[in-house]
Amino acid sequence: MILADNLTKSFPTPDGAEKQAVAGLSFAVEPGQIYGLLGPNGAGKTTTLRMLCGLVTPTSGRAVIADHDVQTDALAVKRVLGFLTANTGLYQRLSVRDVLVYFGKLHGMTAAQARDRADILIDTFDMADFAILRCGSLSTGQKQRCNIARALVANPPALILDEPTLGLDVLSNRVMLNFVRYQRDAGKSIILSTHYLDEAETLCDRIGLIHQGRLIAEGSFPELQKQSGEQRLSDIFLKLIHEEPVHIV
Amino acid sequence: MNFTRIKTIYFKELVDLLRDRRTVIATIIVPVVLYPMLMLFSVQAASVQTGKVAVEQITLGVTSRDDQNTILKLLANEPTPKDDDGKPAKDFTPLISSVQFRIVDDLKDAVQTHQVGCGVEILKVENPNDPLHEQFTFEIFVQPDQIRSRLAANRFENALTRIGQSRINQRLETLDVKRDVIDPFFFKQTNLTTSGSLLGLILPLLLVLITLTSAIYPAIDLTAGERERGTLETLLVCPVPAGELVAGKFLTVVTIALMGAMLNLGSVAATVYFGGLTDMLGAMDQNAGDLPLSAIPIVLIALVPFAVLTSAILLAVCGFARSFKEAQNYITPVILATLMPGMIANLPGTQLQGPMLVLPVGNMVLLVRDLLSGTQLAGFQIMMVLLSTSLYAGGAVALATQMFGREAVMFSDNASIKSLLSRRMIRAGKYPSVGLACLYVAILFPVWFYVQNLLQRHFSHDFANVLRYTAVLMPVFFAILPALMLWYFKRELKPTLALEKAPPQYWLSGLLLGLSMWVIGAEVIAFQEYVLPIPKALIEQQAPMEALMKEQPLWWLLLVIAVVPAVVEEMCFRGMLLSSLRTNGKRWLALLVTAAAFSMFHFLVYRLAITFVLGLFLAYLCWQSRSIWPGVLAHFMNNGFAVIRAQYPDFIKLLGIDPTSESNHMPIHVVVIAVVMIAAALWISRKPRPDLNRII
Ligand SMILES: Nc1ncnc2c1ncn2[C@@H]1O[C@H](COP(=O)(O)OP(=O)(O)OP(=O)(O)O)[C@@H](O)[C@H]1O
Ligand SMILES: [Mg+2]
Repeated sequence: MILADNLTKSFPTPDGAEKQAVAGLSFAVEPGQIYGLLGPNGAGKTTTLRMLCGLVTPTSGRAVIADHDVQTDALAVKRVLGFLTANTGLYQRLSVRDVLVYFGKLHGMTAAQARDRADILIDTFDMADFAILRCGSLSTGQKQRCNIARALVANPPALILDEPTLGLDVLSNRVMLNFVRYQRDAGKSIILSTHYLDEAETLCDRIGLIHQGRLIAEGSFPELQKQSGEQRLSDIFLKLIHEEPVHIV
Repeated sequence: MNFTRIKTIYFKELVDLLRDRRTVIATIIVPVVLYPMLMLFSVQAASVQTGKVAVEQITLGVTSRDDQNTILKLLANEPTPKDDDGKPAKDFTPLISSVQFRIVDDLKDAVQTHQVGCGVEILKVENPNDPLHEQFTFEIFVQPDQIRSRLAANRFENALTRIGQSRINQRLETLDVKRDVIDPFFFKQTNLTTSGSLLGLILPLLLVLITLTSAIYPAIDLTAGERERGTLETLLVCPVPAGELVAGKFLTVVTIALMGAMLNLGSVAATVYFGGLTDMLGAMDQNAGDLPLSAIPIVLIALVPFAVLTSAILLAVCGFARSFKEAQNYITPVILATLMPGMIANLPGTQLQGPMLVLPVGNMVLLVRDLLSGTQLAGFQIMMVLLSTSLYAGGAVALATQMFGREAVMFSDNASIKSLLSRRMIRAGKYPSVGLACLYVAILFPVWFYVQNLLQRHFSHDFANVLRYTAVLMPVFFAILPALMLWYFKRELKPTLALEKAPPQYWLSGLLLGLSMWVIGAEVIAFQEYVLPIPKALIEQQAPMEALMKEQPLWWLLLVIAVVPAVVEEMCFRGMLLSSLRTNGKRWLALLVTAAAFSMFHFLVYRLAITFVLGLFLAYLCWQSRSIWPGVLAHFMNNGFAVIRAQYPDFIKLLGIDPTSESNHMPIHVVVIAVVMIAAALWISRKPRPDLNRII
């Protein structure tokens, strides 16, 4: 469903060298599966996710979502994609409902369809109290709910979430995680990146550990435990990183 | 293009912006309240100032008390002047009641240091105290560029002139001579509206400024602002092509810019008509406040392409920026660069002619000025201004689309302009982007116009030299510079300039087009003659050129008129421009755009149609064959025929055409043959040549 095939991205740096942010990454995410992309700061998670949704052009390799190649058929990919990051903003001067209707229309719905869809989402995420308020006046948690609803406007079969729980309190965090589980159970392919490892332990069906743009381990949490002999994900993580020689590219 | 979606984006952006207090202030409050107020105050201040100075006390510098007394004695007899009806003027104050004297040693110094308004020295007095023969010679020291000094001198001279007149009358009476004997002329002056009315001078630049300033805030907010707030990423993962996003945003900026201009124009008009500004301006200078109401709608229509241009430029520039601050930094030089030609055009005496016709922004200022002052404009002038502005706007829109959502701008940490332009960071590619090609063409347009003008002026209509230098400069601007630019941006020269060899069937098409296009061209001109007859003056202007075509050696004419233009124009238009348009795959759009750009480079409204049609054929041939060479052949033959016809007018008799015929139309059999040839040419090359490089 979501497929990364030998994805590579290098950025030119001011001093003339090339910096490889992602180096030959391959993985696949099946429907009904949550794939966790974990790694230290600067490992290349965000770059990978951006390549998957066509915001960044890969230097080489291929990204395929629902049988559409991201490079050659970007619009088709965007039609089946929900994208959400920690710093995604909302239009401050539009109301929650207006935002949902707007994105519905951008996904090709008629005005009536978009309004119906917005009402359903407002109901689902319990936003009726603040649906007519402007987004600028919402609390972080309310914003987050609105953002989730926005990503789900077109009911996309694939979800790409970059640190969706960053900076949320316990309550909003729970809303988020429940939402992710619910979507998985509804058969969607979900890929997310996070720095909260305990969260990943319980949530993700598969975990990919990346370091310096490379996949250094992949599997379900029990598989990773067995493979490394460590119990906690953070220990597994540290162990694997230290074993791997440090590449300077 | 999905227009429903563009509409969705447009209305959302408009609502979003209009809910923003800053937009409301920048586009509504400022033009409606601030500018008219400023204008009102400055005009008022100016008139108050002038009025004040006019009745103020003046200080006369003299060198001795004797001189002072002499002058005072003269001034004591100043008569009250009469108005037009012969009655004594009402608000007259004799100079003696508003003058004071200061005795100084150095009159020059006293005037220059502004101790006195002007200095007066009595150089000599002949026959003093003889009422019939007394004669004074004064020397007046004045600084004419200082309003106070000038006014003091004027008032002194006027007073003495009046006194002198009354003395003359007295003397004539004594001699028993009638006054008419010595006054052979009398004058009565009627003042008419001047074309350079004060308002007409300020308003064009003001409108340009308002349109520009109204567009700034929305342009930043919709690009860099959106990026800064983190909504741009979300927008870019929506299934909407970048072109549509830019179109929606662009229309929003244009709307707000026009709204600003419209509100401002309206409020200025209201100030003028209801606020008594007319009276005030009239007090300073008759008819100064004249503003033809009927011109306002036309002015607004004329402002549309200008608003389009500025909005596109601003969007493109802000597209580079990653934050509000950065955008503001980029915009300041852009505003200065935009206003400069506007100011140049606004200099008094500038006319909407020659190079001014295509000077970006400047031509718009002049057009608005002339429309407001009721100056007669030729359709050709208006067309030229609107067309060239539209061309620039097109280039800027293309650039804005290219910039929008570019990875380097969206996510880069380095200085984005640098990383976009630094050659090291440019990724090689086959064809240039539409933005790059359009930008080159848009910049080349005024440059080439100026080059042509300069050549004509330099060689003052020595056409042989103009042609010679054109032939040298054409390859530079249409081939070498584009090639350098393509090299810099790491584009592949050969496929972009379409220099590859063409298979024989396309050559056959080229040959057929070359044989027949001139007939179609002649027919286009003949039909155009019904709606847009070529003025006699223009034909006469071309006369030296025609003479030249007869005199010069044939090989030379063929070289400079047929070979060089055929090769380099094909490279630039059917090569670079058309190749860039290949990337989005819309053939007809690409052909139309190329033909339109090509025709505009001929700078004459009367040649637009013919060059457009011919450009369309050539573009089609190049699109199908991926090679300019068949088109070069056709282009060469077309231009070559014109040369040969000039040298051997009887040549067309061979085709059964009577060269002395009155009709502009070609004989019907010739037209039929030409149409058949064209159809055959198009049919022969109906199959596009596959892109070999792509298959490999
Ligand atoms: N536009 C860019 N230009 C240059 N370098 C970049 C760009 N984007 C990312 N990088 C570099 O690529 C590397 C990977 O960055 P990325 O943002 O993908 O990491 P990440 O895994 O998401 O990190 P974090 O956990 O901090 O979010 C980093 O070293 C970063 O500096
Ligand atoms: Mg990240």
